[in-house]
Amino acid sequence: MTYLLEALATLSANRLRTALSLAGLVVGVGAVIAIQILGHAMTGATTGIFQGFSNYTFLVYPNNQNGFSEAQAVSFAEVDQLQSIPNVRLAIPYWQLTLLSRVGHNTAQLVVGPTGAQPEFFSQPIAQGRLIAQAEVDDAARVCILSANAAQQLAPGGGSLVGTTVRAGSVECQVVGVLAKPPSGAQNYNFGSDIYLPYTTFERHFLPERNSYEVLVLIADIGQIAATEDAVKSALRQLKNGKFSYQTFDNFFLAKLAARVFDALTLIVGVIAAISLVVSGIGIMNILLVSVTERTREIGIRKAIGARRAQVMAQFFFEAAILTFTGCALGTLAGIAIGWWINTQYIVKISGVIVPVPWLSSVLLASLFAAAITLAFGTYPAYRAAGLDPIEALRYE
Amino acid sequence: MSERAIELREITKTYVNGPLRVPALHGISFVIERGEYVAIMGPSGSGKSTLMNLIGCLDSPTSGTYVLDGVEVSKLDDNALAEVRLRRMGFVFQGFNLLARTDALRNVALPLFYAGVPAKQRQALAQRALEQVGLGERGRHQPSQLSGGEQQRVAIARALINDPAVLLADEPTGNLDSKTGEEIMGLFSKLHESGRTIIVVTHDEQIARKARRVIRLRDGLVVSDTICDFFALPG
Ligand SMILES: Nc1ncnc2c1ncn2[C@@H]1O[C@H](COP(=O)(O)OP(=O)(O)OP(=O)(O)O)[C@@H](O)[C@H]1O
Ligand SMILES: [Mg+2]
Repeated sequence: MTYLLEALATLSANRLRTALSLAGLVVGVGAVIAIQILGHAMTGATTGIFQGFSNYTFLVYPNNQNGFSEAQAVSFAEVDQLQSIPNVRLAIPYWQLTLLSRVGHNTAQLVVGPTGAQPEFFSQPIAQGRLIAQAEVDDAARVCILSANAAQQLAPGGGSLVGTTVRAGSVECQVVGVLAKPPSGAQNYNFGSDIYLPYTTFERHFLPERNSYEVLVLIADIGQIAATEDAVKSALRQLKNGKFSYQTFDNFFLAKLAARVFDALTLIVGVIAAISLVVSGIGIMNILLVSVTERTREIGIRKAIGARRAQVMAQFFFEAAILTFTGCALGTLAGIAIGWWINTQYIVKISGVIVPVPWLSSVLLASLFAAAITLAFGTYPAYRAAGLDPIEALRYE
Repeated sequence: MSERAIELREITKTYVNGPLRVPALHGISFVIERGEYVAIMGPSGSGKSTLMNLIGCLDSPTSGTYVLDGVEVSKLDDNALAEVRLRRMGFVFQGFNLLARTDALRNVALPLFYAGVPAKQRQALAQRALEQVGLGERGRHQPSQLSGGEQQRVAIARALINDPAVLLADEPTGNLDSKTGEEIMGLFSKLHESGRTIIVVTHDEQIARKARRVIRLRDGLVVSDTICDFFALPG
């Protein structure tokens, strides 16, 4: 305790030296932590970028590199054949149309698409009203669910649209529910619809040919999505006697692509951060080494007065420990503050989600490194000097 | 009183720097009684500082016996020597050797810290010691804010704080002008009068005359040891 106070006194007596060592630590640790946070946030953000498309669904569509032919369209009968594939909960013919839609006097161009009764069809929860009931799907009832965007455009005043009638193109249907607003920023990458009709209703009014170019598949287990996609693709290929091939689209596909880019970025920036930590480590080293001459004299004085070697060491250790602890704490705070600020100011605007960041490991890593440097270069010269003859230490220039 | 404060028997010191051996002391023997005021003189390189460092337990002799207050210290280990320096020796250097950026009070209190005296008491004792050397008002000043003479007085206060058996000073006025030097020597005389054992290394005959006894060295040997009886004993 007294050594702690004595160390504090020495540190505050040598403010410039203390401040410089601290600055090195704070910058190094702070940079690493900020960059770790940003890296994690950016990688995590990619899964949030593609909103409006549920993680539980994927889309199947013809691989039409060789031109587009009607024969590639999937008939309703063929869609039904897909229902028996493992992990497929429901496969529905899929299409989206942009139609002039109206509630009262408010009109808007909105995307109309099919959906089912299962909540997993949506990436957002219901904010008002309810989901479409299975009975309404079975009866091809004229009901619909609106996206938050659609609700906003059709009722700019903000009133609830549940229970009112929406006219989508030539079809009138009753609004039973409105989806919650996706996190801000996601709209730019919205693959979802604005007006969701039961797929039976949608088929009746918008797919009179009883076939469609796309199939939307709802799955049970997200972990099996890749295998299920493969199974669906090969099943369709077989149904078409191998003449056509199909490809799939899901949230993970783009997210994985983007995540790869961000992973590379994080790696590069992380390397830069590590370099900055090393550079600041060298800075700390430099300051501590430069002060060795002065400190050697100081140790000489202390020893001449009668300080025992262990007492001198204890004091230096406490000094280094205080420096390390304070520097790492300040650096961590600064890093988290900067990372958080950039995250909320910029990254969230892109992705629309705040990703929880596992920063603890980077804090530990950076702090460990900084602590090792400070302890090594703060204590080692002291250890050597404390072993010197007091007269030799006093004579040291 | 005629108790022996210091007894040196055939002390030699040879510095070894790698293959180089520099003999500095060739067999020094003398006894210093308690309460004596001794000046050590001699030309440069004659081994005065070497001898002082040995007496001050800053260094160990190559051979010979050194008995301090009845305890043989020539065979003590590092930590025991530190303990002797802490409790039984006060050392004043030519270059003051105060801690930079540390105020006078803290500098004076430093030995008490290593002696394990509680902080409150340290402060009070250090203040008293500073008052003894006439710097009671300057406790919060740092060495850089003090004149050379004042710095040396702070160093003397520090040397005295643990109430040492012997006060050693190696050219304490070497870095001071003659007037300030006289002030410092006046302080030593006062300390001597109050009963301290003092050993001063000096080049200055004027200063040496203040001491009752002068030991002259040359080439690591005592060449003369004079007691000036015409000085009245204090008290
Ligand atoms: N650390 C050392 N290593 C080697 N030789 C040394 C060392 N210290 C002193 N000497 C040598 O020992 C001899 C005595 O040195 P010392 O410093 O005791 O002389 P001094 O009488 O104090 O001289 P001055 O009056 O100049 O201070 C000198 O020849 C010196 O070169
Ligand atoms: Mg000398």
